Amino acid sequence: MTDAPFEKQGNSNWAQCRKCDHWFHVSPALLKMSDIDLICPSCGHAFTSADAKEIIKN
Amino acid sequence: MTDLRTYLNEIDNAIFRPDQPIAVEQEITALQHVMAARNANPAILVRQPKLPNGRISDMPVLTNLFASRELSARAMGIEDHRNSAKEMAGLSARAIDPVTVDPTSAPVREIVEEGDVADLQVLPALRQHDGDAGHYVTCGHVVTYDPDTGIDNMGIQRLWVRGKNLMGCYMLETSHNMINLRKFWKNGEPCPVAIWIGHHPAIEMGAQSKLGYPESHWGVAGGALGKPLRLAPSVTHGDKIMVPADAEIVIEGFLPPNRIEAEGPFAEFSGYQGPQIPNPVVEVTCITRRKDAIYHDCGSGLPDHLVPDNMGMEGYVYSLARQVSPSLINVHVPVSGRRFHAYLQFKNPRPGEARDAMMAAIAFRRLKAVYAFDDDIDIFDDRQAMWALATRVQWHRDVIRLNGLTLAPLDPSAPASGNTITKAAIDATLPAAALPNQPKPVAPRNRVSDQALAAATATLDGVDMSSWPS
Repeated sequence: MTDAPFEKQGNSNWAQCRKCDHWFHVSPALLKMSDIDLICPSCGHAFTSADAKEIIKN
Repeated sequence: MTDLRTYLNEIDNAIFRPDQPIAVEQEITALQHVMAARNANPAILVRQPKLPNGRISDMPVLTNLFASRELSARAMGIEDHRNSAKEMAGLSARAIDPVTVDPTSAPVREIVEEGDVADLQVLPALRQHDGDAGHYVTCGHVVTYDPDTGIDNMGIQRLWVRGKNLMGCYMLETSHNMINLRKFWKNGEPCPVAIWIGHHPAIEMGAQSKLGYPESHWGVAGGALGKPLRLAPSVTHGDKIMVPADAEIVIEGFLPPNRIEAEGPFAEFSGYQGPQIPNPVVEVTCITRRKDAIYHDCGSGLPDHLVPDNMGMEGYVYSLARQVSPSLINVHVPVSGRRFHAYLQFKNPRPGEARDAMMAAIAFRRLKAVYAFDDDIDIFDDRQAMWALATRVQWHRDVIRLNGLTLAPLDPSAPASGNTITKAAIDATLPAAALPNQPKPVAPRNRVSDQALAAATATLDGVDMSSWPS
């Protein structure tokens, strides 16, 4: 429970591709799997979450 | 033989056949969006699907086949779609065992491509929505089997075409196919799989019935059609995995042990994009198909996707709730609520009975909210449902909140962490009359006489209303 239980919180995580800057929607489970590459749906570039240009977590 | 083609002949006047090339990249799905917005729900047969390389596919694309409740119900032998809850609830009791046919006579074996010759890219799979990871097989019935009992299981799962012989495969952790896969993987073995595409819609909807584990879906699918389903052994797995002889296309292969890769994003049933997630992959060994195969696509998050699923849910929810409530007369899972809402309808429920029934229904994982209505409310008309909520509910009295229930998957409003959510049951029924045949202790609803209604209907019969303001 948060300190403000009636404030709406987001639940989506985003990764940004270093190659084409495309943002895409990623599950928390996949972000935690450091040995599995994310795949950019825009350019097909495969990269670990550690190599993402940016990650937004909620 | 009863197959997709015999059905298309039956509904010939309800098929839209555009002449021009239409791109598999979003354009076919955009047609479905426009039609859904206009509440027009024909099947769509694209004879010239334009592939990403600009070439026209030899294989036509059929989509929107399930978008109409009326047509989908009639395909199942249900005259009135409003009766689908009771009819679907009784499906498993009408199961008809399948029969095995000589594979050399199976239409789906007219072309057999194995090994390096097998190429998924011959399929005009759609990239339906902006942001989808790629081209997806959306109406593939994924068949695996339980290695302990040999009993097969089947479910529609989204499949991302990643190359000539590789697909990502979305498998919900709780699905029966995932249980089978885990058993193979525990022994260090690849999980055999076959995926069939395209058949009579009664088979496709019957195959999606919610059954126990392990329990084969073939009999229920045949029962939905009213005759035994013709099966043939798969090329790769023999009689360990049977496939429908009269399907359009079959893809065979294995899910290699512990090979988990990113899959998605993909625009989902909720109307929002599902995230990229870890999932197994399918390595394809063989593709069989008819010489003039029709590729069947299902528009994700559109009525095409929701209608058959929701009709199946209606049967399941009815069977759950009816056990505790003899006054339950119908269930509707409306497309407006995606898969999250169910409307329960009662005829003179005893005090407390509507709540009992709602408690039974809300146990179904997919639901977030259930609503109870009287039999004077048309539960297939959202305007009437909203009217009942506005006029028959006191929020302090008629809303039950239930905490810590299982999460409905892919709910965009769900909490960021945790596996449970709060669900709601809302009782929009009127209080009962003190005695049978007495009026209920509430204001009567506005109405005009049946004679006046009939006269008004006759006055408007044949009048063209298309240019009237809405």
